[in-house]
Amino acid sequence: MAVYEVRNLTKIYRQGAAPANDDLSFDIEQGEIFGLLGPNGAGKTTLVRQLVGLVKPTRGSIRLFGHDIVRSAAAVPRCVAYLAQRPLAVAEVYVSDAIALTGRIRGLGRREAAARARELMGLFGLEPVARRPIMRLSGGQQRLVTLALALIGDLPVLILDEPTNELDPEHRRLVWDLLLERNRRHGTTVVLVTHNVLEAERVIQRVGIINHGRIMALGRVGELKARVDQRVRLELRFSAERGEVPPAARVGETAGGQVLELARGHYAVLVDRAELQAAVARVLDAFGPGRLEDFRIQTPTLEDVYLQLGGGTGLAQQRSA
Amino acid sequence: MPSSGAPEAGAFQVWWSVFLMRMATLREFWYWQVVGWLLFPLGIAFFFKMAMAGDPGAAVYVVTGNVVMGLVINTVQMVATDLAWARQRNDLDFFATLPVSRLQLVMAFVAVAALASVPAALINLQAAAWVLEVTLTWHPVLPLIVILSVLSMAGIGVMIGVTARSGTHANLVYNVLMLVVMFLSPVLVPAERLPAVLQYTAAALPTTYAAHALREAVTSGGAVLRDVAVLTAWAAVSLWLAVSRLEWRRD
Repeated sequence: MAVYEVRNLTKIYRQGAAPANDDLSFDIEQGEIFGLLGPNGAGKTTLVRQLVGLVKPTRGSIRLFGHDIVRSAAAVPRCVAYLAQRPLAVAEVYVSDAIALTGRIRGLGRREAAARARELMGLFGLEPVARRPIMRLSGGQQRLVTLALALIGDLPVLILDEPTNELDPEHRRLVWDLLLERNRRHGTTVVLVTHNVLEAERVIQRVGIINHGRIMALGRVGELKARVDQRVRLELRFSAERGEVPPAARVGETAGGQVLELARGHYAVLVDRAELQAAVARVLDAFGPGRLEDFRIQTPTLEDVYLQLGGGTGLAQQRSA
Repeated sequence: MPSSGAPEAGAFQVWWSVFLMRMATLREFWYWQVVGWLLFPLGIAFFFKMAMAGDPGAAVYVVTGNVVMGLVINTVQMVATDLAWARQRNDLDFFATLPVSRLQLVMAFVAVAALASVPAALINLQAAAWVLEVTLTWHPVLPLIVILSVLSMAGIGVMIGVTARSGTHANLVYNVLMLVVMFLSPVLVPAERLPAVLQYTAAALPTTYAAHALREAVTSGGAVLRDVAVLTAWAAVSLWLAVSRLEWRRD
């Protein structure tokens, strides 16, 4: 069953301006984790603001569980929790109060809201700052509060805009694990807007890559990976302390693939899958494991999908402009 | 449509929760609110005591005008700038993506401003009367007049807050309003002393009726029905207009 059915969605803010969203059509299925990826200014935020009923489309339709939310978005907050960038609206409110009161607004009883707030604060390690105004917290802690605000009430759809921004690695992992757990145990549908493509790959099941207001690629992560360069990436990092650092050309010749110099002494070589075993053997034979500080083998990632299927175009154009 | 399974919150529960969230702004800056409540109106009272000593008629204008000024300072400014800054920073998105209606949000802003303003108005009234040696009669209709005055001011504040292009813009509009109320309307001086054109424009301002009703209530307890009607109409129309103009999700 489709949670969202988006058809021919177009948003033009000013007459004559380029569309922020241009004829977008896609579905988001119930119980999936859908990633919305794209460079800055691609139109992701405009799309999300239309999905939660904050912006009216210029053309097209959006149905949420079959209801036309372009005509009336009144029902959206009953089933969609939206995490925006910062909780400035409740900046002066104590952490525990903000979470519990948000639960109350979503229909929880007083005791249940307080208990759920305590539970979420415990999960995110926010108990020591429970009686502190949100504005006095660090950026990472504020981000965790916004997550708690989105999670309280257990709504069936979560739309999260950059949920791991400003978080340390431990909390980033916690957030991804929590989203997976919500998705598996409660069947929560998650729409994830993020730049953190490598980390998001852990959780995203289906992805839409948006750029210049249009969907450049849409599909399951595995399907999209099959559409990009299938060469395997060998990453080699040499250190001068371990001996002479070979030049890029020699590394490429030895491995038998296209070489990219990522930094001084740090190379990526793209080799065909059929050649992988021989390429690894040649590299180890020529340079020996002792000269290599780091050595990795990587199949195409979601980041490759993002960069090769349209997500990187905007940046490339900006660089060349 | 699937939901969390929790029953929909009642209208009062939602409003009360938003109100409590908004109350936190008072907790953070209450000392500045107290300074705003007391210092400015009392300063005016002392100034007039020095400037027009021995004129009891003028003193009554200053005492009641002070209360109106206090309401403009507290209510209009607080509501207008809070709402305008919230709009500028997209803060209202937080509430718009919760099951909160425009009316509930606006009435939470207004209630917080009223809670800050009504005690201040009554304290100001007594303090200015003490400074200017005016004997007050506390007519029973006084609380109603103060509440209606606060609501009509709040209506103006919300109107400014939802139409201003930014927080700075709202502050500039508020400053102009403050100037008009202080010097170009019969709040601190009798209407007859104003130029004819200002007497006409003053007739359109709720502050004129608030000041008149207050003067009547603390002196003779005389005719305030027309003032009460105008203040009620101002409050209802301005709040309705403001609520309908607030950018919100498309309900």
